[in-house]
Amino acid sequence: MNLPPRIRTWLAERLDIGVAEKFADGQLHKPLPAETGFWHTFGSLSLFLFLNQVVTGILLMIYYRPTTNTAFESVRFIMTKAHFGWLIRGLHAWGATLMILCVLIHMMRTFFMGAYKKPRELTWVFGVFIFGCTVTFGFTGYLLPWNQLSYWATTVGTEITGAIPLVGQYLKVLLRGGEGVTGETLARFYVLHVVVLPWVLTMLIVTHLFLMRVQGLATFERVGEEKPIDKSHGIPFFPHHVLKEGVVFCALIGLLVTLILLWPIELGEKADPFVTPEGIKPEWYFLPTYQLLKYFPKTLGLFVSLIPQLLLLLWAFLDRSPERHPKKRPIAVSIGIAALLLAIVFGLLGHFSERDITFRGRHYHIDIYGVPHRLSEQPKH
Amino acid sequence: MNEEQRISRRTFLDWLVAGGLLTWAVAFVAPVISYVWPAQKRGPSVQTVSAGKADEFAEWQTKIVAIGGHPVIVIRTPQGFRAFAAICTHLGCIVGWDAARHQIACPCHAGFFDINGRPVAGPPPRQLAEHGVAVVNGEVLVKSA
Repeated sequence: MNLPPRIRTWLAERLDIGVAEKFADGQLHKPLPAETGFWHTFGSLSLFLFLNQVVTGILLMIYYRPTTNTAFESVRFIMTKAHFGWLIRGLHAWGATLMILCVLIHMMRTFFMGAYKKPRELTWVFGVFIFGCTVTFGFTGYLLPWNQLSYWATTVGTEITGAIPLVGQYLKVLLRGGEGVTGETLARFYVLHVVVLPWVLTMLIVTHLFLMRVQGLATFERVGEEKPIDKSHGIPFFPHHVLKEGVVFCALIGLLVTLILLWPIELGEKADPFVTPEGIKPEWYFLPTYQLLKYFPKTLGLFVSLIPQLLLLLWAFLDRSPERHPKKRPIAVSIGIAALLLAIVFGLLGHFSERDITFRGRHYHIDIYGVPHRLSEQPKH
Repeated sequence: MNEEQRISRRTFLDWLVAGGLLTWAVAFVAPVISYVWPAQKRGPSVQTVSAGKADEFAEWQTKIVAIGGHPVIVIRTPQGFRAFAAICTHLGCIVGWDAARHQIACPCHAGFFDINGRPVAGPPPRQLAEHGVAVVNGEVLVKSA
C-alpha cells in the first residue's frame, strides 16, 4: 500500500502499520483458483447492491414519513417534487429486485460448483441466512409506500404467519402490532427495515466474507484433496479479478439505469383498508410460494412451503459426496435443476393465474390454480 | 449422601451466578417483549352503526360499512337485510358482492360464500361471521356482534 510519506510516518509513530499493510497486501494479492470467472462476481455484485440500498435508503429517509396519513404522500413527494427523487427511489426499488436476483445467482453458482462442501458448510449457512434476510428486506420495504398493492400483499403475507400452529396468532399480532394491518404495522415494518435488518445483514455479510477470505474460494478438487493455490497458477485478486468485477459493475449500473428509465416504479393508489383490488400479487420472488400455498390448506401449505427453505439451509450437511465438479454429481445437479424449474413454473403459474389472456388469437381465463379456460368473448382487460 | 454426590461450594456458586445472570437477562428481556406487544386492545364493546336508509338499497345491493374499524358487508336480499364480516376467512382480503353468481366473493383467491356466509368455493376454511341487522325508522342499523 502506497501511503503519502508524511501520513505514513505520522501513522507509523502511533500504530504498528506494518501489520495492517501486510494484511491488506495479503488480501489484495491473494491468488484465486484458475476456474474463477464471471460467475464468481455475483457475490461482489450483491454486496455492491447492498451498499446501493444503504445509500439510497438513507436518502429516501430524509423525506419519507412512516405514518398512514403521510407515507403515501411523502413517497409521492419524493417521486414528483424532490430533485432526482424518482432516480433515488428507482435505484432503491430496482436495486432491491436486482440484489435478490444477484444473491440467487450467487447461490446457484455455489450450489452447482459444489462450493458449499466441507470445509465451507458454515459459509453456505450464513449465505442462506443472508438470502432470507434480503427477502425479508423486500417484504418489509414493500409496505412502506402504503399503496393498495403493498397494503394487501402485506395483509395476505402476514395472515399466513397466523397459520403456524400454537404461536401463529401471537406472531401475527406481534408483527402487525394489532389484529389488522394498520399504522402500527407500518411503524414496525419501518423499524425492521431501516434499523434492525441493516445491522443483522451487515453482521451476516461480515461473517460470510470473513469465512470466505479465510477459507479461500473452492476449486473443483474433491473434498479433502484441495491443494493450496500458489501465485504462479492462481489468478491474482488484484488487478485481474477486480478488473473483471469492475466490468460487471459497469454493466449492472447500465442495467439499473435502463430499468429505472424504461420501467419506472409506479406508486399506484393509496392504501384503502376497506377495498381489496382485483389481482393482488406479491413481488416476483414470492410468486412460487404464493402459488404453492393455493394448492394446500393454510397450515399444511405453510409447512410445504418451508420444506425448500429447510432443504436449502441443511443442504451442505445432507450432500456428503466428496465430488465438486457438476459432471461428477449428477443427482445433486438434477435435484438443483428440478428445484429451479419447479420454482420457475410455480412463479409463472402465480404470475398468470387469475388473469384473462389472449394466446394465438384465442381468449383464455387462467384460474386460481393456473389452469386455462377458453373464453367465448374477448377479455375486458 | 456420599462424597461424590455432594455439591461443592464452587459448583453451588457457579449455579448461583448462572441463575443470577439468567434472572438478570429475563428481567431485561421481559419489559422489551411486553413493550413490543401491541398496547391497545379493543374490548368486546357492542355498538351499532347506520348503513344508510333502507330505501337507498335496491334488491341485492350491497354496501361496506366500518364497525369498530372492521369492515362489514351489508346485503339487501328479497327476505331482508343480512350483514357479514367482510374479511375473508382465508387470508384476510375484503370480500365483495358477485352480482352474477349472487354470492359473496373474495378478490384475492377466488373464494365464494353463499348468502348465509358459508364458504361454497375456493380456499376459505370458515364461514363469515354474521352481524345483526335491524331496520328502525327506515334506517339500516348493523350491530357490532
